[in-house]
Amino acid sequence: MTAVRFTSVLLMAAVLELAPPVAAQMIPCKETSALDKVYLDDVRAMVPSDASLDTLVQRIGYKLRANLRNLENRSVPEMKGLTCKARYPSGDNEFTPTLCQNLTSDKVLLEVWSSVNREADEEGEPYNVVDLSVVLVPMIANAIPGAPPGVLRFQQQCKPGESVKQSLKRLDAASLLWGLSRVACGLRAYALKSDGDAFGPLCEGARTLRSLKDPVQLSQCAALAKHADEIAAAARARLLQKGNVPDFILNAASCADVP
Amino acid sequence: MNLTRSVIGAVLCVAVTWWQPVMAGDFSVNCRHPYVFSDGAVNLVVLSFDYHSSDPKKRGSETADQIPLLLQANGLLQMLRYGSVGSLNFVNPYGSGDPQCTPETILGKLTATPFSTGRLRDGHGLILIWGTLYEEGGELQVQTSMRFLRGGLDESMKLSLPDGQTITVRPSTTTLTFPAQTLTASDLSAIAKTFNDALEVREGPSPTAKLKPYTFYDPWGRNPGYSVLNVKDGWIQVKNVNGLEGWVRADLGGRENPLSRLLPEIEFIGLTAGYLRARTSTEIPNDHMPDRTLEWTRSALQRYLAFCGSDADEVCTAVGCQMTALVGCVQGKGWALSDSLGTRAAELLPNDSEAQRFAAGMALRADAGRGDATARAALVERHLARAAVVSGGGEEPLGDLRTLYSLAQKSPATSGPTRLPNDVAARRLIALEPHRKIPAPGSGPSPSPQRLEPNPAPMAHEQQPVLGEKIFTNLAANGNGEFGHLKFVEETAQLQPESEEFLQMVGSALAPYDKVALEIVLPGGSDQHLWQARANQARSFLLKQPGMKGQKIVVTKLDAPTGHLVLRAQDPDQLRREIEGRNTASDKPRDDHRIN
Repeated sequence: MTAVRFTSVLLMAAVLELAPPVAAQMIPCKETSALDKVYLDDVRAMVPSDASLDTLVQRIGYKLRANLRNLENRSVPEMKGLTCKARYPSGDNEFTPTLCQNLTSDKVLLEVWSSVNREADEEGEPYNVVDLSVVLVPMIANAIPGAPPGVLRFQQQCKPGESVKQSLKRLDAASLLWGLSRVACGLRAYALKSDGDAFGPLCEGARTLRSLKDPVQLSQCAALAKHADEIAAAARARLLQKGNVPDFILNAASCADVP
Repeated sequence: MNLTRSVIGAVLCVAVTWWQPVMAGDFSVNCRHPYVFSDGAVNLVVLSFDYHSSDPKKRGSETADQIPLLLQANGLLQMLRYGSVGSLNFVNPYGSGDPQCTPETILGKLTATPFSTGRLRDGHGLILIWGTLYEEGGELQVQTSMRFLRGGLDESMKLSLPDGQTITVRPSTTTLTFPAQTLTASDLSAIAKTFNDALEVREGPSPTAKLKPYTFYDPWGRNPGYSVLNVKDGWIQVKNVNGLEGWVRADLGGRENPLSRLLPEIEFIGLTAGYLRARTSTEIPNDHMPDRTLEWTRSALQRYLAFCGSDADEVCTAVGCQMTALVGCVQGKGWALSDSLGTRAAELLPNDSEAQRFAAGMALRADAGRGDATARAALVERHLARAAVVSGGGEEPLGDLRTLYSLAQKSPATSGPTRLPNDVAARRLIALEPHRKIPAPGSGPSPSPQRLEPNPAPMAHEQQPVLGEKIFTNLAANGNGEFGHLKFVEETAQLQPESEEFLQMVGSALAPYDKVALEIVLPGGSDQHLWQARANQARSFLLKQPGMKGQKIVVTKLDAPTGHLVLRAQDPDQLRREIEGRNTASDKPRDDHRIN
């Protein structure tokens, strides 16, 4: 396993050297709507493209756009999914607190970007690696000490010959984005001391992230789900402290205490 | 059949008088000229699906165009048993991006008021279907979305409880996205054959009956609709306005619809039609739904869940349970079933306020039917407490709790694990009486933009909870002279009540001073018209405060899109000098010294 990883890293390094230079493209993705938003950046091929890579890029783009529509349909209050043409970050560290505060001003909850790379197994057989990254904008804008990272990365291997059905199922991020958007929404409310508004989304986010079917997504989100639970409990404690919510209401509801 | 996506000047013949009960369909309505069968109690409208492909140059395919038509035809078959239904397929020859053919635009046209023929009547039901398709290597991924509604009404239902009390329940959502389904090459080939079968018009309800020389389908949407004359063994006898009639196959061969296995949402369409048919029967004069509506709706839910298997989506499942429960309520039977379906929905959506209220309402109503509404008051309380907390202190769950406690304090029995003792209920009712709402700024139907701002400066009255001059003095000494951010009702220029209160305080504090100019700072970026309107509203409100007439209030604009509107002193140093001077002066300045 280690050998595979090492080979992969070497190959990746070699490939990256040959790949066209990647510059930051955080061009504005503006929209006049006052609704909450999720930004979806362009899907990029990190190596010189060929037919199979092009197809995978189309698949990912379709799936993420469909997931975004799903999120729009499910969200109350209404949320807008925006596909941001030609926008993409060069890395996680580009999402500085300042940038995220500006994005929060524009009511952006999440920014999602994806890239496709090519690696090779021990026998030298190439396979594609899909890298999906999501930043929880309010989490970076309002950093809480001890919180897990506000950027999550999910890597999926797409093997040659995999059916469209299998591949699209593997790339599905509908529940993931729903869970992350709820956590982002709750963290934003918590930062504003709007504890009543923080509790529900945080519980829903934690619950969704804990019930993700994809094992990669599930393991990557474990720390965030725990954090969301903790912040929900803190929001509940603040509500109790303020004393303007009857205890018998708050006592009857914690994230885990489902009727 | 190549569906050319060119602009066609379609003329629709829609001035059709349909006899009652209406059972009608249209295979091909041009999406720019949408209509429904206005006299139908429930209409199903299927829009063209957005097409995507692994080949970006490809703009569509025959199979992709057949999916919506099959949903429409099969949906109609699912609905026919309820009577008074219509089903239409809206074709889009203009391409996916056409702004006149989006679900929102079409829904707007169909529900526009005042009513005219072809639009949805008040109280009548509509099921709108749309979706996306992705085609690659001969396979197709289909994802369907649905919206259901009744004209001029929301989907809430008031349930009667003892003592003249009521509790209102509603489905958790009316917009659903179904799990994506992948259709393989062999599925698609079966669909293509079925599609051709569905187009054939025969003289009798049999695949061996003689073929008629015409079809009722036109990919450009130029055909008039048809009425359903008869239904037999999965065949429908239809007749269009030109008098052409014949039998069309609608079940794709056999009693078990194979398309439902591929696209289980077809069963959900039947379920939704049953739900809407039940709800419309209480709104349309002299209308009656079939006695077996609950049975059929429940069966459709069971088939939907069976076909979905482990892929069933929790939201779709929960809403399907809720709709079936509501059919039971309308029919006044199956309270226990409605109760258990409500509980199941609440388990699936533990953080959905409506699902928790729904479960509470169904439990109360079921117990009331057994003669003791508060037999499970402790459980109902937990549902409602959760609804209150996850909704950020929504007024409706708190009102429901008051209803519960009001009933429970009068309940004759006071023991048992699921009961709530009378004295506890009475104390809790008192605790809720002073309207002690969970403090969620802007909670309620329209969320406040203030909640959405990043790290806003605390409002003045949060920093220093005293009124008048002291606040003003403290704020002015606070470096940049910033008083605070103003808050507005979502997407409007209407001030939030707390911001009005805040402006009143600032006005009251400012009134004794002259030569003090205020500044309202607009953010840069998007929505400039809205921000300008908000600034004008705030300025106008402030100038109306006692003693504020003639004060100088300027509006300036920042380049940065901060997302909020700030009220501050234009010159903090001058303000500080004014305050210091004022604090040593003995008399109040005259109005004629104000800055103009």
